Amino acid sequence: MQGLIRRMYNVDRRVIYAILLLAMALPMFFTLGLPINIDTYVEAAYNVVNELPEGSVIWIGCEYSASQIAEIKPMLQAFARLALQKGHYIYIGSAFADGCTTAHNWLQGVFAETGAVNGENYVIFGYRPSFNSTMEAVRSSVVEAMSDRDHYGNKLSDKPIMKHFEKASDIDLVIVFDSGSPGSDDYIAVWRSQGEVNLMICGATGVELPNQLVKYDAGLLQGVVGGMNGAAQLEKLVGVPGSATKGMDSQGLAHLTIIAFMVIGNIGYLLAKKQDKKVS
Amino acid sequence: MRKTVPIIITFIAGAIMILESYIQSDFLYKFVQSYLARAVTVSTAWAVGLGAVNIIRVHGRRIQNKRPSYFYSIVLLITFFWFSILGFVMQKHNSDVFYLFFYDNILLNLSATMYSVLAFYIGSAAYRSFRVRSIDATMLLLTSIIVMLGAVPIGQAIWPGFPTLSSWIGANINTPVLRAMTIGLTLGGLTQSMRNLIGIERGHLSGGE
Repeated sequence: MQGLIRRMYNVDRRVIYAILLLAMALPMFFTLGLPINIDTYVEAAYNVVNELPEGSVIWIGCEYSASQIAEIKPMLQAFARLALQKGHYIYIGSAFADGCTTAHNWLQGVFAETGAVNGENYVIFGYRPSFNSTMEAVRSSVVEAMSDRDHYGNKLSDKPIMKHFEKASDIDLVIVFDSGSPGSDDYIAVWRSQGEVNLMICGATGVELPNQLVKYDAGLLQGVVGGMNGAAQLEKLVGVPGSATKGMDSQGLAHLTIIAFMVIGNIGYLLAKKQDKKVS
Repeated sequence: MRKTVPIIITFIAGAIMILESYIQSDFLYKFVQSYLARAVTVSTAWAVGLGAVNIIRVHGRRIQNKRPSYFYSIVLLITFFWFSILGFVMQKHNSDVFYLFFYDNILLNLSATMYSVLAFYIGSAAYRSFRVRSIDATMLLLTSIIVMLGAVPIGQAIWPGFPTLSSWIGANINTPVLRAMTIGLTLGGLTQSMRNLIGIERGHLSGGE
């Protein structure tokens, strides 16, 4: 009995890793397909994009690194799909070295599906170091701030899409994909607080979600999509289930497994404590 | 001289940036946009270059002196030069198909793997640390269970109240605490900035007096 109790509160970490791996891998073969509940802040983010008048100017800030693919990719694709379907113009920029390269990769399918043309419906500005100074410069001229070159080294001023967007005050909505700094805080400080931009929504990683909800409650953000769960909700609202929807079963079972281990560990801990008391 | 000149430059540049936010002046606005903002971009670009040189020096020395695990330094330098060469040589730079082939199949997967491995560490750490040793620890344990179940559809399938309870914890407990922390951090940042601006803080100027 004592051995069993000891094992309960001292499970080898390799056993935990193996069972967690199984819990995450199994739903990839046997889908549970549980219904996804929509949070108010995710619905709010969807409504902002959905209700913008056709031809609105949307800045997409890809402020994340490639490691956040599981959470950010599905929400980036869902937002871009919705924006392009609604006939908006999207302008993609980033102060993260990976931001625009990943956006280029992850959005090729969406561009093809919606018939979006580079330079007409969307433009990728490319990586620009020094976030604050670049964003400050966009307040007076986006072409100058980007040195008149896009991600591919082509001239920005030649692109028809640039006639809709000369400076920051032309932006109708900012969608920031936030994984830390620079992120939505910086966009709020540079553009929103200066009155340049009035609508801002955020797609955040799971760990960043609580920080974004504070800004949502304060009215600084008009909507928030957080983590894989938020991305799955957005996919449901857009009507195109993707990798986040598929990933929710894995995430759910992983959470259940961790909780099960926590419960087992605590039962073992309490039983051991009781036994120690008896002995003493 | 080595310290006085940088302090004067810091003060003047900082004062202009602050004034530009409070005073409506075309001259100040243009000066900040066309000079100071660009100066920061150029400095950042130089810092990236400096970082690259530093990486080569540090890891070059590790390989030269055959320090423990120098094999990883060799891998780092090979990938560093390989991606740099690809970025410079390829016609479309970092959007070239050849560059993207390596980016997608090496960097992207390795980065995602490193990030995903955290799930296993968190699982193991949660099992070991969330023990009912005190009232505080018990509250933490219960909160974590509610939030974890509230974040996934399976939690809602177990009990539909989990998402609501999880949202309540987020809005009424987490948000006020985060707000207080943010205000505290901002005040700390403001104090630190003022210390830098008026030259009280000199640690970054070659350290010590």
